Amino acid sequence: MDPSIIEFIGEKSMISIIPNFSNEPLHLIYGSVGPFRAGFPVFVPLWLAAHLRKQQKCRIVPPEWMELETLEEIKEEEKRSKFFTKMPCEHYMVVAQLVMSTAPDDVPRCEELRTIIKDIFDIRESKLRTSIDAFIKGEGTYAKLDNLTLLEMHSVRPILPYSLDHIARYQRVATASQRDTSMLSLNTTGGASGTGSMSNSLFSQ
Amino acid sequence: MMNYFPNYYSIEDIFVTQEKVECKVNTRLQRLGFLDAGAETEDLEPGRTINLPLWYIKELKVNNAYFTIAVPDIYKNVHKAVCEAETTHIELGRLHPYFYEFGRYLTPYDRNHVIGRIIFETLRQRVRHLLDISKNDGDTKHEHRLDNIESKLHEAGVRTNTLYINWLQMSGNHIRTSQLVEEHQKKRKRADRSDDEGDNETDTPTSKKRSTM
Amino acid sequence: MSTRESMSDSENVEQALNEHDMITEAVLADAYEEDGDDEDAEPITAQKVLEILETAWTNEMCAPELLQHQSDMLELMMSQVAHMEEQMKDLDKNDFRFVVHQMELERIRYIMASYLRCRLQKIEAFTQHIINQDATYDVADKRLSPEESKYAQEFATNVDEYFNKVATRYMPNQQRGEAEQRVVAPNLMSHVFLKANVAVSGVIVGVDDEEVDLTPGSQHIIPYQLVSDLIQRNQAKLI
Repeated sequence: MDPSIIEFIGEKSMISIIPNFSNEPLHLIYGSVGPFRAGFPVFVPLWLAAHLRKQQKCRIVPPEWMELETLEEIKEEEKRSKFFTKMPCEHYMVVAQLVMSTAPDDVPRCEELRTIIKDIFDIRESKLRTSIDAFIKGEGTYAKLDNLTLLEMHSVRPILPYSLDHIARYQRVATASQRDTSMLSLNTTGGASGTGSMSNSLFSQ
Repeated sequence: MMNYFPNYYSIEDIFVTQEKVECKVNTRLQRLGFLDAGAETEDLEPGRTINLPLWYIKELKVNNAYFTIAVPDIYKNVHKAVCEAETTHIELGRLHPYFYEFGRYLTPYDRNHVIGRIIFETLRQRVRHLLDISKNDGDTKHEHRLDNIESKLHEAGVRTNTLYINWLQMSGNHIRTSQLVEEHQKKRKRADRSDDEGDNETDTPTSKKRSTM
Repeated sequence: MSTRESMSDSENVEQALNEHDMITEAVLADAYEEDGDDEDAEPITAQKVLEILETAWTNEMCAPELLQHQSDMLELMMSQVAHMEEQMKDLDKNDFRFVVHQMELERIRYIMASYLRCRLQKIEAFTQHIINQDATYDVADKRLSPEESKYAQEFATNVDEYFNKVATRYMPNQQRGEAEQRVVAPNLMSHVFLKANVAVSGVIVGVDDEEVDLTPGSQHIIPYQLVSDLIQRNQAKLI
């Protein structure tokens, strides 16, 4: 899952726009949108909002959380908390990135917001790296990752799962050979490099 | 791109199993003297030390009557570092290009169960470092520092980071012509130039426009 | 948005587009009858079909092995897409509605293509393993769709013929008999990212039989094999 696919998935998020045209509701397979009335806000999927904005057919209403004070609080909370805090939106990075690149004029203090959202992402990413380290050294192969968003997971993907795969694979080999030879040694106690190889059938490659 | 998982066709696995393993001969092996470069005898004598390829060794039972496999020094040498959790500075690639996979094959033959523990402990200790170097210095080469498995992980990490940065700059969204099609077009151009026949009926617009996401 | 003179035409089209849910329902009612295991089954909407396909797509991208095929859902969606395109063909290409519907259909087509491409990659990587495995399953549990099955068989034959032509026929008999060894299988203990759809209790999460209860919406990184049954039962999804 690379960022373009994560973006594609995130583009399903609903966002409010104020259209400058009117139209009957559209019955999309994904669900109905509209009716569109010029000057009145309406929720549409992000992909549609971005398209309409590029065509200058609407203004995007930034989501409630896309606001300095709220994000400042989230940032502080993220710093304080040992765990990942719940983000106001499951695809906050994708939404921010798309809204701010297609409609910077619709977002007050856009540049400041961009910085603080990036800060939040970076804090969470480094928290992820630290917790991975602790988790791997704690001999885990399973971990809980509540509230982590797709794009944050992407930052350690596939290197983290791949590393865990190898570690687990080597650990299995180590455990299996230890078990096999300890069973063997019951039969061939003391025999240094014994010639009797019949008990060895226990060991299979 | 899938994670490395050895199989019959994997070239890395073939490379690993080409590696030589030192073993001690336990019993007289008739007419196998040629395996021992330093021996003049026709038979292979007990007590001699010879190098055999891993692909042969790995088919032998652990306590086979013929050879005792010697644990390579590289694994003994890192033992202390592993115990002290000081493995990040080790130049693993210099020790052995296939440090982990070679070790994995030898694990069952190590009666002291050191290799098995060493390889997974080493990787476990170095993952954080791998994560960090793939994020921070993607361009630097690490040929001596990393073994084959680690290089692959590093490459994957660098790729992830590049994708992310491109995405942030919104520069990764362009649909590009796939390499295959591009090569094909180059060849076609060359062919067109060589025989100046003008219209090329196979050169349909679709073949030009085909692209990958 | 639309021009006055084409108004009535466009209205008809839009009306037709609006009927798509009902049409899908009709198709699906048939599908359910064939199944016959649940007489009171609610007919499925196009939206639901899309949801199922989206989940199948992300699961397939993240799972190390080939998952069960979704031919029924794909077929429904394909006919839905075709139907909508048929309805749209009279609309002006610059019409607001045309553009938006078209965009959505492109997104859906992308999901279906990406999904099938992902499956083909697995089929090509693990051909013999998948064929062998599918041979042991009942018809209802087959991983390969009939088309994929045909593709897998042909692919396996072609690869075998090629190897035979360039290499194996020059080798001693002993080497030809390595069919078993040559089977490439996925690593089922690959670590995956999982999100629980519902509460699941007593999931074994480690080799030492450690158990964990999953709460709805909770996320985990875990070896695939330990949770593959949860994916199959739709109690969790891969992300």
